[in-house]
Formats: sequence, structure tokens, C-alpha cells
Amino acid sequence: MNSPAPSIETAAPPRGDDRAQPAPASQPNQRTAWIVIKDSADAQAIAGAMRDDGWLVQGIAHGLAGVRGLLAPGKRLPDVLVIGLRFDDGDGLQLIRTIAGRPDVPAVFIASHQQRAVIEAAAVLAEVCRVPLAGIAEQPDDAPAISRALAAYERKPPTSRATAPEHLGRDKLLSMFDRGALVPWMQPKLRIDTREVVGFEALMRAHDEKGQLVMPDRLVCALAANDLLDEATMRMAKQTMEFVATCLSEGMAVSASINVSMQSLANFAFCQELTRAAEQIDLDPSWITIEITETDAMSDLCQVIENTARIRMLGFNLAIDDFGTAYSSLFQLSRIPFSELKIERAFVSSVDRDAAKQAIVRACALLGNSLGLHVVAEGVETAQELAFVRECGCTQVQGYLVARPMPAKLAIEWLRGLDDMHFAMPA
Amino acid sequence: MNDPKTALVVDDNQLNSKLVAMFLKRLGWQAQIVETGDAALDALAGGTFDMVLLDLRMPNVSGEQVCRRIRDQLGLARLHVVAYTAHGMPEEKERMLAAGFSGLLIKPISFHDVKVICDEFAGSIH
Repeated sequence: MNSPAPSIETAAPPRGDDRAQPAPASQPNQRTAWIVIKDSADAQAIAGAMRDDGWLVQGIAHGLAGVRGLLAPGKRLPDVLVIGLRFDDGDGLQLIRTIAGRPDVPAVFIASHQQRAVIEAAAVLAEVCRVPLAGIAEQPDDAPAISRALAAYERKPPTSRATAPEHLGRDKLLSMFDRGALVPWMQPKLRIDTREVVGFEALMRAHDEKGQLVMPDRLVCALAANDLLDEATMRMAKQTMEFVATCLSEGMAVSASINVSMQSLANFAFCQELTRAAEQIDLDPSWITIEITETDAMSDLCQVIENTARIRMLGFNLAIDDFGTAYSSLFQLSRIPFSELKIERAFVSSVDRDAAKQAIVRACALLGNSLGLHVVAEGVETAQELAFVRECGCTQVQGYLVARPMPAKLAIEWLRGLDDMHFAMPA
Repeated sequence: MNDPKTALVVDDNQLNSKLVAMFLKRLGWQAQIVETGDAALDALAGGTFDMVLLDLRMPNVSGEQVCRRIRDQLGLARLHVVAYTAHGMPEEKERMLAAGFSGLLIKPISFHDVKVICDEFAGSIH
């Protein structure tokens, strides 16, 4: 196989450059860049324009082989990589994957003649791989425009924590249980047609010994690793049921949903305890919805049908959460006795300005409605997003537009403050 | 002024029946609560009601059986009997209407849902 010769030019301006000059010395705070563009003339022009704008261009390469030397372990990466998408020996997608995960990952600026869908896909790849995106240009030969776009780019400071979060071991988790520090925070759900607040999703929160709030991303993994997720879920469920019973006794008709793993649902004793918990406070289980993730719903069909049918038989409702994030088999979806479909927030965010998201939300809402399910749009933050999901046929919304999650006591106060459970939408 | 409309609420779950009774009161109705199908039949035999809200999920006698007995034994063919149920599928709705129910109230309910039923069966008095 014919392997193209590595092509790399480093710090000094290239041979024959009419602006030949010594490599500029690095100034304090001077921003650094590499150019990895197949076309030599384009690469040189971009480097020249960027130098004129004060960048220290440390290297120019025209393919993966050329940039490999620059990426050697121990070498400091620049602030920005200006990259094309096609090289003779590979592509920019491989390059994005290669730098992803490095602690000093540079931002990438994609300059390519490729069709827009491909450039956008590369930008999405960067986002998914957590590589900051400095911008895109569809005309890599317009060096001044690229340099101007880069001048406007300011990288967000890394959101590094001063100290790594403390590991949550079994003792700490059990102490949370003992202290009653594991609590549901309630986020309201609004019925769109009547503007009534009709329910809440209970979200897991805890307070550590210093009183700091611990979020589910740390909690759930630690609980699962210590085989405490069933117990934590049950504690959440009981508090959530008490919350609903209190609301109902005051004439405020709200349901509530709790997130339950398929592993917990597969535990027969867990389901029995859920039922007992509702019976003990005389709560009709139809006020409680069990939310399972799409990933869980799409695991072994026999097990999923058995466990979900049982939970419906016990009188609870059943929602599929984060719909659209996993790999749903539509056949399997139609076989599981769901009562509610919750559209993943990522599709709802800015849906009014994104044609692809609009197509997805429309399809999800149509699917949910056709299967006779309540369709909840999650993560609704603006009036425009609300208007769109309403038009699509979503029946309920959840998100910051209505309210952020809040402790149960505050949620009851919030409900009492509403005019007959009606939420006045901000203008 | 007309006498308030009267509803019989049949539900063995007190949180539910009290909630519905609160809603009915806000809508200008009077509510009588009973916990079993037999008690409902006794109440209907002894008094006059404009509407019955009947929970389908009760121990002993099912809501559907109670509805049939209201129609057949008590001969109350025109009384509005509303099924209060968690079953919302269209085919289930057809089954309920075939069993003699006048309408459905799907759990979990909201004030608006109860108001719509009251308006439908009594003319709006709220």
C-alpha cells in the first residue's frame, strides 16, 4: 500500500514564504494554533492570516501522519487546531477522536469544502467527544474570514472543581439514609390544554455531612455499586407518596413519578413493598407513575414485559423516560404497557430553531399519541419551545419554563400559591 | 335559586373520594360518599341523585356489576353513572359505555376533568 509521505511544517514559516522571518517567540498569553489542512496553499494562507492577527502558529500539517509527531505524549497541545476533514491518509473525524480525552484538549476549528451535513456531523462529533468547537468555515480558502472567526472565539474556562468530589462509600450512603438526607426534589408537570399543574417528577437529591447538595450523577452510581439502589428508590418512593397524599388531602390533584431501574422492578419484593407503602397511607397507586429509561425498556423483552405488566397490574402508571436517546425497537415499545412517553430534553431544547429536532419531536409526539399515551416534553425552557411542542400534540410539559426542581415542602407552598392549580405562563 | 345538584361518590379510597367531593363542592354540587357497591345501591334506592361517580377498582363487587345493577335492578336507566377508572384506552372506553356507563373520568383526574363531567351532565352551574 502506498503511504503518503508525512507532511509537516513546524514553527518557522515555510520555505519560500515571502514573509520569511524567524519563528515568532511565544509571548505571554499569546494564543497558539496548529493548522491541519490538506491543501498547502490554504493552510499557508490561514497560518499567515492568523499570525497577522497575533497567533503563534506552531505547526502546519497536511494529514494525520504529519500531525502525529505533534501529538506525541508529553508535548503540549495548542489552544486551537484548525482542521480540514479529508486527508490522503485519513480524516478530521479520526483527528477529533484522537485528541478527545486529552486533559489539554485544544478547541477545533473545522474548515472544509465538504457538504454542510458532513461539517455539522463533525461539529456534533466534537461536541459528543467533549472537544470544544471554535467554529466552522465552509470556505477554507477564505483565510481572513477564518482568522476573524477565530479572533471572536473565546474558550470557556474549564469548569474544573477545586477538588475532586468526595467518593461516596457505603458508610456515607448509609449515613445519608440514617440522617434522612436522601430526599425527593419535585419538578412540576403542566397539562398544556388546561394549564393545570397535574403532577411532579421526583428527582433524587441528598445532602452530605457538610450540608452540600449531592446530585444523581454521583448518587446513583454509588448506590448501585453498593447494592443500595433498591433501598434508596424505596425511600424516595415513600416520601413521594406522602407528598402526593398531602396534596390530595388539601384538594390539590397532583400525581408524581419516580425513576425506577429495571433491576428494582425485577425484584418482586420491591414491587410488593411499593404497593404496601401506598396502602399504608391509603394512596390510590394510580397517582404514582413509575419511570423507566428507554435503555432499560429495551433490554430483555420477556423480563421487561413481566415486570412492567406487574407494576401496571398493581395499579401504578408507567412512563418511558428520555425517549429518543437509546435504540428503541418500535415493536417492543408497542408491547410494553406504558401510559406515558417522555421526550428527551435534548430534542426539546431550541426545537423551535432546529429542523431536525422538529422532525424528531413531531414523530415522537405522533407515536405517543397513536399508542394512546400521555406525551410529556421534558426540558421546556422558553415560550417558543412550548408553542412548538403544543402544536406537535404533546399533552404535558416539564422544564424550567414552569419551575426548577424544588424540595417537597417548597413544592407544596408553590402549589398553594397557584390560582386553582393554574400556572400563569410568563409573557 | 335551584337546589344544588347531588352526586353519589362510590370509592373505597378516602383520599380519592374526599378530593372529588371537594371538587364537586367547588362546582356547587353536594356530594355523598359511600365506600362499597352495595352501599351505593342502598343509597340510590333511598334517595335521588343527579350523577354517580363510580370507582371501577373496588373489592368484592366490580364497578361494572354495580352499574348493571343500577340499570337493571333499580331501573335507573337515565341516571348519569360515570366510571372513575385508570383505564383510558379507546377499546376500554367502548366496553364501559356498553356496560351502561354514561361517561368516563380517567385517573389521575384534575379539577378540569371533574368540571367537564359536571357541565356535561348537569349544565354548567359553576
